[in-house]
Amino acid sequence: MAGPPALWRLARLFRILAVLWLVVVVVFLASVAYSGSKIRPAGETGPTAPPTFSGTDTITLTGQVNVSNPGWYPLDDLSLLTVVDEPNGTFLATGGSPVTSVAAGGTTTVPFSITIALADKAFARSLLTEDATLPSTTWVNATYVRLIHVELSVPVNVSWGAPLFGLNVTPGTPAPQSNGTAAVPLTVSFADHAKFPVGGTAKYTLASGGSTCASGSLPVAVASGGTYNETTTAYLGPGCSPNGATLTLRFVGAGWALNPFPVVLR
Amino acid sequence: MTTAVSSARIPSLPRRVVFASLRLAGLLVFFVAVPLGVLNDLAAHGITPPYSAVTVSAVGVVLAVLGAAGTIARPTRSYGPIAFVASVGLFVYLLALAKNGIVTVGVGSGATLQLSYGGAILLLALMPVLGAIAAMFTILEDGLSPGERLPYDYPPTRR
Repeated sequence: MAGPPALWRLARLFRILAVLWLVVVVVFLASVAYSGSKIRPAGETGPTAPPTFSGTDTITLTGQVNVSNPGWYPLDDLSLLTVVDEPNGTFLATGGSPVTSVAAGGTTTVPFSITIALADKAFARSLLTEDATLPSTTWVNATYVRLIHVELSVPVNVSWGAPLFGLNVTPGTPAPQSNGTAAVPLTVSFADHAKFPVGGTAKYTLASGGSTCASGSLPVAVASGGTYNETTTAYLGPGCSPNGATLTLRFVGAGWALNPFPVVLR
Repeated sequence: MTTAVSSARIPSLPRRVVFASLRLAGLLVFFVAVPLGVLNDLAAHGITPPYSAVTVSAVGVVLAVLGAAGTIARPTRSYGPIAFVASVGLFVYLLALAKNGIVTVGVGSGATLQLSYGGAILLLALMPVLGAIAAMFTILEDGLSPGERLPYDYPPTRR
């Protein structure tokens, strides 16, 4: 008896391949589901460092998330994206992480940073001196075994404490000096409501009638939650009246600076 | 030299109907009962299923009936076309499942977890493609040499 016809054998081969494929895929997907159920965030999931001033008029929040993948398959294209809004829902800032992978059986630290450019928007600038509650949403995206895409969305209301809360400069009574100048005491005060210290120098410039009358600086070192209340003396020449003078205050630290705050003295 | 068609031990129609009924029961479990159980389980956990129970049931019944019909029609030339239609139907069904393969789960405090598993279903979709190729070879075989496959599909009893 001759063997089965070639077409019959081909048909049977493909039927067997179909069944084998089904079995292999079902077992594989079951192992993917079991393995994927073991993925967990591990360790610190919040910011590991407080926000800091960086550059000019910029606040940067950096942190990291440790992701543990004890399963049998890699977690790819893992990334974080955070969007922070103003209280009225207007976009304020965004940040995120680089795209990374977590190997099977491994743990990866995913760094992230959020940058708030204070000079871009009036509201952002007000975050220096006013507390706020900022709605934010963080998305975690990843692909498991290149087959299953995962997106975790976490909305959080962030309580923002202003680092220069209630910033104020109060002039004292001018005292005429023997050399013809007037000594004006200037008291700079604010409270650090932020979760980071403010350390640097407060540089002031007093201008009246379009010309600079006096300038100087004060050292600033305020711990988080602390207050600042320091007085310095500005000496005004004969042509300068303290009434209606404009004082600009500029904070400068190591690697950061804030654009001047104009304050009209009364 | 080929095996005589007459040597094939083709089951009688009533026997094939019995086999088909048993297969139908199994296919209904696979295509209807299991998917409905999964959908109910998702709904019980507050997850909106991406497919309606009616759609899953209707398509599942059609695929199960096609599978059972193939068992009855296997000795005939209609077996190939039925198997082909069943495979293509399953392929299209899996493509549709893959296209809508997204579930969103609430994980407390407004957080949501969204899983897109269309890629996993596409892996399964290769199975009916292989089945359709097998059915095409059967159609070709039945067209070129009607009945030639029967002694191999239903081998004669060895003495």
